[in-house]
Amino acid sequence: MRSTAVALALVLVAACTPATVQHVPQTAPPAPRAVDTAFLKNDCVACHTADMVAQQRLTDKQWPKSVDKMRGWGAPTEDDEVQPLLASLARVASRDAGPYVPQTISAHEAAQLFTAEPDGKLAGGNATRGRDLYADRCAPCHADDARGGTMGVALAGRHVLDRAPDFARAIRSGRGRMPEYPDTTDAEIADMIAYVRSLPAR
Amino acid sequence: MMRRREFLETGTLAAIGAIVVGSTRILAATEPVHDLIVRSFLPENLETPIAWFDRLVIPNDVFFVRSHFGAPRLDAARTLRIEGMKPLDLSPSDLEAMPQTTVVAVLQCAGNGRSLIEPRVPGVQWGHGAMGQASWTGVRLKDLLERAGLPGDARHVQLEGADVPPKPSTPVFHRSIPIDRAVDPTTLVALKMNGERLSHAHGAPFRLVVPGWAGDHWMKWLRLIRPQAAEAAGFYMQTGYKLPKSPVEPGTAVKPEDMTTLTTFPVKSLIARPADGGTTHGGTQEIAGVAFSGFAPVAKVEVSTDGGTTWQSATLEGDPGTGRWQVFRYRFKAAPGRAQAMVRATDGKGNTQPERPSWNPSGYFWNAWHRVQWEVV
Repeated sequence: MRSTAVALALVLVAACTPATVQHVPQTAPPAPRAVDTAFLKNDCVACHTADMVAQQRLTDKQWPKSVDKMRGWGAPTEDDEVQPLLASLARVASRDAGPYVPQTISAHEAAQLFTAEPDGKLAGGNATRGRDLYADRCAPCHADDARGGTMGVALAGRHVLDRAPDFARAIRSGRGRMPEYPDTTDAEIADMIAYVRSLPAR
Repeated sequence: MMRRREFLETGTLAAIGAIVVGSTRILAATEPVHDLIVRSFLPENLETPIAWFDRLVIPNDVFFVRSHFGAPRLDAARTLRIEGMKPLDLSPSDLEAMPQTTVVAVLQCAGNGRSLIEPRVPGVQWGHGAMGQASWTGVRLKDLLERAGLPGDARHVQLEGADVPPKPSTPVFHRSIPIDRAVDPTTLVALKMNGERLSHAHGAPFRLVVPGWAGDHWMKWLRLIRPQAAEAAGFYMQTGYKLPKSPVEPGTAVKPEDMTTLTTFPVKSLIARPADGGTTHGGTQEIAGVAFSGFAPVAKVEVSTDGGTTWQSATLEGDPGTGRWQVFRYRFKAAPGRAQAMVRATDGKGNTQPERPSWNPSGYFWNAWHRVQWEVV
């Protein structure tokens, strides 16, 4: 999304008269170094995005402590998965991994992160029907009270409930260790979100 | 990265960037681009580009955002519970009907500058931009505590926000502040930031404002204020947001009993212009930035353009105040070639910035002399 904006900005810069443009680089800024963070999917990205990990520059003495802390906080990494995870972290976020290039977003895009998205086709769900669906499909991982379990993250009281399309995407495309359920209907998702919205955050 | 930075600092391009994203704001030619640096999308941690720090107030839309677990569900009608002998549940309009106070104050994340600490430490790898200054309007916490009947044995005030940890095993983010700071007349429950209702990003409908103290105390999405006899327990009071009681060698492991809760942020200054790695035209150069201290008003800001051999006083703009920043400016003439500037501030209590940062295990309170280099053409 951002790269589109930057590319478009460059096109517009090229169209400007030279007199109004100062210090404009003649070439596009380099693309951020591609960092393979796919391995984080199973352990980290249910709670935070991969950028949180990719920006760190830690030694092989520091990473085990961070992984321990995160396992204590709920990362679902099993004992025998720790060494492979550490090996991957050493590859992308070690002390000598080189400069980290953060993404930038416009203030407008930033504001969108904090707004509600209209329910659209996911509006008008029935919380009573949603309760049965939730108990059957969601509660095993997210817990009966939707405050999260060993595997699933907390849902009650969280901003994703303001963003039904994001909620639907997570169900249909999966997230972290959550499998994808592409066949879930709009009506089912509407019922589920209606129920989870009715639950207290604490 | 360098290219991208230069790119951001071009006024014309800034205006184009605004057109691209459909902003209706009309930008002055010199205004930096309305962008934020993403430290993480979830939780939302967004940093203000350094070019903005040449002014007294940072606009809300580019003001940095810090969150521990991601925003809670939107709830404009959230009530604020204040415990006491006569507990209160107040709506935003209840608070709005009470006497309002406005303070201008710096909000700065304790971890601002963490990415500059050596040896590196884990945490959000902020550059310089996890800080900003705004006017904050709301009700004095003292008034609210009195109205709710402050118990005689209260020594601390526990604060909780509505944000929810992602797992039941993740510690809740909370703060506990000592009673004397809670009843300080500058401590507010704010409803407004720069005259506008707080946005969800900044803690709507209520956030605490604790001028001079690090941002972890400025609880967002505030829902509970509880006076109590003892400091609250929990990870974020007992382990997080701690500093060594006395300076330690970089890289040292510090025992928990040798750590203390961080509160007041130290004296600091930062150069917004010229940009590090940028280019200027020959002739008069203006060094501009901000300086502040949580302990006292700024007493002086000095700039060196010769690598620290000599220092000259910069002029200050804006009202002085504790926990409040002023803009500094210093002008000098430079011929084409490499140029450099360093800045250091001293506050009214004689605290001055160190040449090198004081290392600590979590990388808090970076406040070394800020240095920039640029090319005069």
